Amino acid sequence: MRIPCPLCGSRDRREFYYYGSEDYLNRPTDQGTIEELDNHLFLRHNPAGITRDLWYHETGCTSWLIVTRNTITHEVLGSELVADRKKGA
Amino acid sequence: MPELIAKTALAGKKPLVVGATTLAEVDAGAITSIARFPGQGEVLDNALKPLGFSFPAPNNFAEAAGARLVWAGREQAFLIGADCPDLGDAAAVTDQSGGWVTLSLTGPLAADALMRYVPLDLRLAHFPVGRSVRTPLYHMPMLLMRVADDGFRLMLFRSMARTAWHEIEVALKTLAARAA
Amino acid sequence: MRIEGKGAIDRTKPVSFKFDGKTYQGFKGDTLASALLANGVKLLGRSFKYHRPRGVLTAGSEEPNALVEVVGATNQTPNVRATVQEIFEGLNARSQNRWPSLRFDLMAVNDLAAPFLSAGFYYKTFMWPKALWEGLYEPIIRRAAGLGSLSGKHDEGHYEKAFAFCDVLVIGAGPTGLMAALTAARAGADVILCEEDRLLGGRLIADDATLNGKPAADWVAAVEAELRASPNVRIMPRTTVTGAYDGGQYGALERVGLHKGPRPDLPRECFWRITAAQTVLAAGALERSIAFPMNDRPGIMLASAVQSYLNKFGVVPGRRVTLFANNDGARVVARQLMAAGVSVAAILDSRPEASAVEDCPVYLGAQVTDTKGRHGLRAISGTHMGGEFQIETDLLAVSGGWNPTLHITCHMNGRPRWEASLAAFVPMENAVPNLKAAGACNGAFTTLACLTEGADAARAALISLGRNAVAVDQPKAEGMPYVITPLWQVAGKGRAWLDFANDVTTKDVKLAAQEGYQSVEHMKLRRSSRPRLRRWARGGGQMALRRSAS
Repeated sequence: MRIPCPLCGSRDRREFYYYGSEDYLNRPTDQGTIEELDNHLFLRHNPAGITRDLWYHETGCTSWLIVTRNTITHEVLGSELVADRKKGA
Repeated sequence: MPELIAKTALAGKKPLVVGATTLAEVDAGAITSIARFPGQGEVLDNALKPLGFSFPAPNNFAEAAGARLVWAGREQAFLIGADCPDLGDAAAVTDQSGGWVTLSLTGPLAADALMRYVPLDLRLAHFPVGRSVRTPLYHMPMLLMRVADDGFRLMLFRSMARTAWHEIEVALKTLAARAA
Repeated sequence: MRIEGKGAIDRTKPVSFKFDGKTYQGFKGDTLASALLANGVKLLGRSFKYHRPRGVLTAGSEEPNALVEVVGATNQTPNVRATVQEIFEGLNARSQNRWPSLRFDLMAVNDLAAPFLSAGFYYKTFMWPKALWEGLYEPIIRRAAGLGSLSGKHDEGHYEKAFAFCDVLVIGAGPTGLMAALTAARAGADVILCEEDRLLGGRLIADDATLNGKPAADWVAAVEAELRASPNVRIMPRTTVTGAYDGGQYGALERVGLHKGPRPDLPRECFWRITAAQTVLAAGALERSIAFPMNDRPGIMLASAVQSYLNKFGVVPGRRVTLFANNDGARVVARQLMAAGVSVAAILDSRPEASAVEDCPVYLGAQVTDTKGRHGLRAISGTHMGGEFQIETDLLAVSGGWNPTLHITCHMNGRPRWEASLAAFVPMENAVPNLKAAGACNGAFTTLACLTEGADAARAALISLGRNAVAVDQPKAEGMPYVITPLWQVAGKGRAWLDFANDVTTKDVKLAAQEGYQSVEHMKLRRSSRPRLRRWARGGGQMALRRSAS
């Protein structure tokens, strides 16, 4: 498996560490309900198709990435820096 | 204050020569990490100008007056072989001189030996001189530079110096045995 | 028996090796199987379950019978295929799965008890009573189970791993692969050409084929020379591509030192992780046997294997050869054998309508219904359109047709498609992204079609890479069509083996189907229950038993 890093280019999967769903970035505010926190921590979609996950380019540039891939075809469709996403938000 | 004697990680280790390929430790001198702060690109470049550098693009390094400025990760570069000027509030600056071991691997077996451990295409056409990447050597994080057609510079965490040396030695001897 | 002037072996370089303690001599370029067959050794192993005497069935990596232990100074490797292991000075191999000796194996008592030992027998019988499991059944099964053995010592051998990258990976260096590699190389693409064998050429060499009116070996040598001179080509012989993974990555296992004696710093094997932008699968095809009664004796081989031993090693493992086939390919083998001065007793063609014109007796509508000779084939009997036959023969070459080697196309959910005209499964298209199957592994069973498909697949790969193809002269090949009438099974009283490696007969498969294991995946697990039982016994099987009993 190869993962494209926006900075480093196409790299081998072994350079990365998988963290989990992109949902981890959407932390509920301290005004949120206990259900929202529960959802954030424990409930995940398990899509047959496109999914967006957090990967850490551990032995590469040490960036956090959001990688879009297809769970049916295993195709990796692209990646972006978490840092850039925050900048845009 | 007494003056301490700085020793490199593998001080006293003789270069390993296999055929025409040589593995040797290099005393890289001062290594300074420069982590650019957001929006400080121009300020930082101006501060680096006296050294002959501007902040390097990803996967590249530049050389000037015997020093190198090497891209080392997102918004990070290492200044190697020169004292770091005052960069003000443009970047976070840390002295990492003692934290790394620097190895030089030069010769016809160099790329093939590294490709035993590095999951990257290191053939010259795909990894030309002037390229620097963060990539693992087997399981060890590494900063890898191509400094010549058949020459690499490897920077690894100091604590992994002997393991890295050993791995490369095995790869070189294996390649030599294959050719025999 | 060696045939003068035949084979790609170096007769000026004799090599001594040991098998079961006895020293033999072969030549550089021999496999253990070819060297033993040349020395008249036909019995190489015992079958998995019934401990039946077994000889060499094939000439390649698909060998199910001739599995041996290779004993080195620091390691002992079980289940080495004698058909793959090349001999070297000092090679020490021994037979396995027999006690006390290969010719006299006490465990062969299983063969007499065969009616009780059908697939699934262990499950059904040893489940009860549970108290007897640990004390009695398990130790006995453990002793009897398994093929080779390990030394119990740490493996001191050196193994290597490495990465490689290319534009075009070509898997297999037969006519298809060579044509693909040549086409891609001339266009300037980075090419890796992996070939399982030590020699390039594949069946071109094994068939002693003709290209441009000359021996195909000449064309192979010219192509190899050009590829070796190209800086953008890496030829990897003795390298088996083992799997296709996401992102154009392939695993490949290279035999680096297994064909040499132990040498300092030389690894035994290297596992490659190859990343390829485009891949041409040119893995060829494997011949299959026919399930006729007692089809497992030493001296019964695939026709293509007999041809390989003749043309690659100059070996004919018999004095009086008979051929049994349902297709035209065996005719060529018979003609080549006769041309080499070997006596061919008869061609048994299962097709009633086939041609009867050969320089030897041809029986049409023929079926082999029994064979004789415990440690080596002596005689066969059967029926044909004109009645019955009995033939004294010590080598029976069987061809039940060919199966494309399409395995890699199934690694990412690809399901093979049945092609009735070939009586075989062919690969699904686009089963693996950026991989194109070409040649025999794609169901193209003539040399002409292989050469064409190889070049076409490479051109398609070049277009995907945005490169312009350069013209490559295609050598002239004969286009003899592949004509086959399926024959899967011959009815008769005796057992007919389907899966030689796991000692599975047609009866076992029928039984499994009766018991509801009709899906191929279930049937496969069911019928080879013995290896599963071993794993099970080792890894917590007893606990599973207790659980199921309570």
